[in-house]
Amino acid sequence: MSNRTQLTVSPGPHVRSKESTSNIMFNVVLALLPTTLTAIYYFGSSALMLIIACSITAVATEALFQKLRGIPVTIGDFSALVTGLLLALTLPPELPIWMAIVGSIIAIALGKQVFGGLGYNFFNPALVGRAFLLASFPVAMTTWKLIDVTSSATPLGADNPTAIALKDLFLGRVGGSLGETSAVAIILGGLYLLYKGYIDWRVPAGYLGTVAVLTTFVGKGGPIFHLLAGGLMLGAFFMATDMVTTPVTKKGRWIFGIGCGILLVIIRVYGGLPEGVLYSILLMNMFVPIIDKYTLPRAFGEVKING
Amino acid sequence: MLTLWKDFVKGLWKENPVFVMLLGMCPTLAVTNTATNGLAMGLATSFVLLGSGIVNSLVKRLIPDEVRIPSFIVIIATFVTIVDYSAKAYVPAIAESLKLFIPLIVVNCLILGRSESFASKQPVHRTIADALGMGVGFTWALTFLGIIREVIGFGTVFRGTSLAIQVMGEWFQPWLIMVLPAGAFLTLGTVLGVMNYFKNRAASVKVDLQDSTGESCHTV
Amino acid sequence: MGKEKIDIKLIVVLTSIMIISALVLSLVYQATTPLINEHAAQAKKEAILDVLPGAVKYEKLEKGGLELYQGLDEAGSPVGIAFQHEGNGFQGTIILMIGMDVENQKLLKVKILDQLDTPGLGARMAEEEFKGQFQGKSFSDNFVAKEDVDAIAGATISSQAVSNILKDAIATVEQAYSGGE
Repeated sequence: MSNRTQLTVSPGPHVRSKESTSNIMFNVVLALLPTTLTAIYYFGSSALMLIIACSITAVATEALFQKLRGIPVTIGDFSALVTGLLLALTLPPELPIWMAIVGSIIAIALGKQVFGGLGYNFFNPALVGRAFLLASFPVAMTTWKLIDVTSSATPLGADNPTAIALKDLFLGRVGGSLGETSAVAIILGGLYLLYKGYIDWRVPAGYLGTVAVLTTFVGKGGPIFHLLAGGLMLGAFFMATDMVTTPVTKKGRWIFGIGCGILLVIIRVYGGLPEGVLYSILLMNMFVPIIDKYTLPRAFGEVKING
Repeated sequence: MLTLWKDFVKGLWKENPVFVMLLGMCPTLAVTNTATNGLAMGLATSFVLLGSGIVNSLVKRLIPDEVRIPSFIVIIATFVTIVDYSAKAYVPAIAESLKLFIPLIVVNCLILGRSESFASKQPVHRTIADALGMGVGFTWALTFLGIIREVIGFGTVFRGTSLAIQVMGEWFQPWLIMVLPAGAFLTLGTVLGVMNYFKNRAASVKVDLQDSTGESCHTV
Repeated sequence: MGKEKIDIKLIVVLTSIMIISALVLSLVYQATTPLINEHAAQAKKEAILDVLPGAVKYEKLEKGGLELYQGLDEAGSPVGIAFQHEGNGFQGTIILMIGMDVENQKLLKVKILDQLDTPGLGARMAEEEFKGQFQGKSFSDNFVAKEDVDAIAGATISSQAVSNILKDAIATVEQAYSGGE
């Protein structure tokens, strides 16, 4: 009787894959390492503290909630760790630790667990945490301080964006959140995930491409500046590509990426906020069910209703 | 006497208008950014509840069914207008902070709901007990939400009144989101979630007990 | 026949409820209106005297279609004019009472009468730290947040909104004065 579970009868397809949630998530953590290390290199111990605090809190919150809900604790799958790490990378380095802890609790509790846990959340949990923090502590969340560089505002908030050398933006010598400083580190991680096939190139391509095209015509600074500045790289490679909160179809992912890009340019150029990566992705997250509904191909032989 | 007591206490917890029946969500979400606003809104609503309940219960036999609801609405609106004028005349500061939410008590479904489901069927003394219970239940719920949001959103309780207390220390930075509309939804949702969690746990304990004594659990 | 009877009863009942309701409300109205008006007048008086330091009373002044309040000190000499002006804030209309010294081309004091901006951010415009900076500000200044106006941290839009209303108010009053002469 004990081996009854080994004789599961289930409908096909019966393709087996080595891939598991923990495997994928572990690779995401790996891909985030360059960015994390760059952040610690540039911002020192304050960045390290934020990263540790967010990661521990996120994992602990996940464990606590799963215990309370009486379901198996799955913190071994690294997904909570990824959320904590991603959230930490969107925070400004001077943020008080307790705010980061609050953000991590909100990210896991309100962004993920209340919807039913991994796979059921509508919004990217890390972005929910950041949105909460941004609405709660707008001043602390938008105060940037940087070692040895004179600029005190995030490049997108600067009055004359072109004055900031693009080379600095690329290498990370600019003010900003932990993970949005160095484009090169993020691209490195992003390429690794693309190579492993864990993220779909269509989302970052649609997102970045749309931003590049649109900023050629509107706004100041030009496309290269807009691509490198702010959290766009981090958002495009690590947040917009979240498997749970993006459409499942290829066409849907194009729509998703392009939609994010359009929203981002609207917010950056015409909106009252300096940065729009957060809201562009969260807003498009809401459209995912609709995009899925209209882009899912019909099964062979299925008849269009009211055709 | 027991009936009257039952009519009164059910509004406090078991049939709490906010936390159980989810009635009157508009003022619940809109004016609970401070404890003072929550309390004032609760008291204003309680007064309308009591006044219109008494009158509606008294006149229920005189009113034909066809015009029952319009009549109730006129009576409710009368009491709301009384509250509106009185608040502006005697407590202008509170009237200023509640603004148009006082006139909007007219459309608070809790009031028409109680008039329809209770006052129009029960004698006056029971209606009074019911209205008082519902009023107290509504008031404590709004004040409770107001205290949570104010403590986290401003770090104070009853700010701007002589009762004002600074709850949080110097280190504390107010969570602005809590006093914004989003904070109302988050607070209410969290409170409801926590309440349901404990209710479900209590209920499942009951089922376990019944199981162990060999009774059927179909009744639960 | 029966149907007609019901119709009449409906009308009678509804009408009498209306009449009683109207009666009650007119009594309440009579009792509370003087108090309400008094509060409003008191609030206005306080606001006007507040933005005109040194004034103990004021008189209404019509100039170029504007309603202005001329503040007078103990000796009866004018100390400046108060003007109520409004404009768009971050979330709703901001209403200001503005004290001006038209002779010397500068602002005296500003009071926020009403605003709906974000609590803890834009709403801090009512704090002395922000509105106090307009005291003695010259009419010819630029009124640009983060330049000659210190913006509230995290609320540049609200800060600019107040500055815009002030700038607009100055232009309005100046025009009224030049047109009146």
